[in-house]
Amino acid sequence: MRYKMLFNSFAYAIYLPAVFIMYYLLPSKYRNTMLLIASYYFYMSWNVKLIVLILTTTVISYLGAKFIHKGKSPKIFLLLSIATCVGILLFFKYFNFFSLTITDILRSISLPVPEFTLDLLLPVGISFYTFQTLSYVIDVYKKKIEPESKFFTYALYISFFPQLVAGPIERPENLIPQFKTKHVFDYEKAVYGAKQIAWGAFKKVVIADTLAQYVNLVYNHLPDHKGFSIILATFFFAIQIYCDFSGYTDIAIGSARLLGFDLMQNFNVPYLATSIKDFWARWHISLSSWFKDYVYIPLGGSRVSPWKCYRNLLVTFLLSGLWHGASLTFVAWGLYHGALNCIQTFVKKHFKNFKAPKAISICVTFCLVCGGWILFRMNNINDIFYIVRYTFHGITSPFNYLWQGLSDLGLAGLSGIYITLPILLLVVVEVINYKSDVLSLVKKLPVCIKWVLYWVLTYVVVIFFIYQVNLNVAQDFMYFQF
Amino acid sequence: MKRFLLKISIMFVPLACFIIFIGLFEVNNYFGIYKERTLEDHLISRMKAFERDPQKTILLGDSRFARFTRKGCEKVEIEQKITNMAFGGATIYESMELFWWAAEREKIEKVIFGLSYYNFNNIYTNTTFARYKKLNNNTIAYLFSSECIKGAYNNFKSKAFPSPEPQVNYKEYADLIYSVCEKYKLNDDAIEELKEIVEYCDNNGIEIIFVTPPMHKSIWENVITPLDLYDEMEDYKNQLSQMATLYDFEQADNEISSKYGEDFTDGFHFGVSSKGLFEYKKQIYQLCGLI
Repeated sequence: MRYKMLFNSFAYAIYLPAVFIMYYLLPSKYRNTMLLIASYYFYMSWNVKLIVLILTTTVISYLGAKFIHKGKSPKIFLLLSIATCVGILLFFKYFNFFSLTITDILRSISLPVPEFTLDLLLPVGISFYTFQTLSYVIDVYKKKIEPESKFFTYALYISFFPQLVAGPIERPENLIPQFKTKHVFDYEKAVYGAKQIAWGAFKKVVIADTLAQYVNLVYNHLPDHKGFSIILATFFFAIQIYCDFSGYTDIAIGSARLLGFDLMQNFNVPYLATSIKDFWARWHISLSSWFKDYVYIPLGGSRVSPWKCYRNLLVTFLLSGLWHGASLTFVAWGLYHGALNCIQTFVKKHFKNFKAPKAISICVTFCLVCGGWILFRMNNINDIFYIVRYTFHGITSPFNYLWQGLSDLGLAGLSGIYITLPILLLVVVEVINYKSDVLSLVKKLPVCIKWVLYWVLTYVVVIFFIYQVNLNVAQDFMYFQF
Repeated sequence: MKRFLLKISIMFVPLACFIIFIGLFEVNNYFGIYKERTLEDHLISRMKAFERDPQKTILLGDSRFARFTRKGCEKVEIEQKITNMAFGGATIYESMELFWWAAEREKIEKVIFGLSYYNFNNIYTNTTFARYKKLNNNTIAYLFSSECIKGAYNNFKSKAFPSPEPQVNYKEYADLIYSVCEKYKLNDDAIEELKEIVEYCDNNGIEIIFVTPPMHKSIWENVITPLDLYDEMEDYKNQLSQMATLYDFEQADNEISSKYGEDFTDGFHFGVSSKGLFEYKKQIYQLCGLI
């Protein structure tokens, strides 16, 4: 297969309409089979060998749930299923990380240990679909759901192409029943889905990929930058990662909507969160709710002594950090958020009457989240020392501090306006989405204005995409690496 | 669903119009729609023509060789068996990279390489080959490239609003060439790279022939003589003749430039439909054993 089926690719622009048309032309009884084949084709476009891994995980979890439900040693089958699926994930994603970490530790105590790594391919989406299989076997064990009788339906739940490689991490009780209902073409749903795809593509191609150049300029060449340029790059990264990931999610949800499926919401205006806990209720909702339901609550959640509650928070966020990647920077990021959550829990418990104005809460939360993004984006854990030392370098001359930062990134002139306009548009849309739904509001506009908006949105995306492809600056979706 | 598909189709009406416009006016015959191998002597059109119909004999060089197969120039039958890969504005580096690109694809037997003192000016060190190679390999990138869009637009403009041929002004052209050659220095690096091509040709049984082009007397009078470039011209030609066969038309008393002087449209180029161009290329084909 020649073309990776990235959402921002011409291959996907051909693939999705083909699947859409085939889906509604086929009689209902063949649709799930078609979707399954299409989903495996989608996945194999990255690497044909990946099909072996996903099928293995699917078969093991399917059979594991069956045996769990039969009632004979359910705990053993649960542990076996979890161990196998997580084992595959750990092996492919974390083997080299742990091997090198252990080697470094042993060498630091003067033990001459050779480096041992394996040249493993990182299966795209493995973190996402593994968690879906875990949801399934655990929910069957807890008797929340019945095991799915048809293997193909279950396989489709795991491999459904819109959410296969970067989520949302769907719960079986939400998605599996949708494969059993007959989908009649819903015009309103399809139009909404198409608009969502266009808006997601705009966020990814126009905003995220444009900002990526500035972020990479600073974070990949830190010693060449000091002062305000680091703050600007961090701010841009906050927008980049949000637009990249939520853009992807919008395309995923929109694609599913075209086919009549409803995937769970994954983002809910996270940068307007009023606290760190509120942020995590709005950011990557499918993952944070997964960790809450399958790690935090089973550990005892907040219904334990304060110290155990803090432990539970730190463990949950540590695992969340590790889930994002096999690197100390992600571990540090996870622990950072864990610590912030502990502090908030402490403050909430001991200063119940304390309530800051909403605007201040939002600003403070955003700044704290950006602090975490510094850790997330760093190439090396040691970069933190440089960043701490030089971020406020020159701040005693505020005007020079700001101007130098803008000049370093080439934003002192028209480029600054060129960057600001899409960000302003994003802010306006997010503020509207806080209380309402901008895509539904667009429907109420006069027809000619609506069409001008659709055309401008679509062709701005097309032009930006072509420009980026020509300059070789188009970026992969960031969460593909997780 | 029909209503939905209709609305989606309307969304892409501007894109469809764009593609139709390009299809009608695209100048490089990129998609092989036209019978003519190439419509314009641009690098992309040459690459596409070679990919579609590679011949064992190729021409390399700049606009002076490119005109041999332009529409309006009387054809010589042997040109059916030649791929003209010369293009307007070709630097020596671009011509050399084009040779390597072609040699990778086809077993070439003969290369006729048009070179002049002008190509060996040290200021011409640029090459855009990598970009055009990418456009050649990527249809979508080409479709939306400035080369494709500008080319189509200019083609449309010339057909919709034809403009008269510009008046010949040898002095103005010579002054332009003078300004470029004022700090002329022979590009020794390019000559060294050319030696690698000659060595490759020798090792692979490819006959390589260098040809220098005739020039209008205005160039000799207003550029070569005032700047005294005779030593540099002799130097590069000596080096070329030591490497391979050289047919030297770049002389002040050359028969072609003397007899057909009025056929020049500027100091370097013969008119496309002129007798001078036809006789010049015919002589080259005869000397190279093609007719």
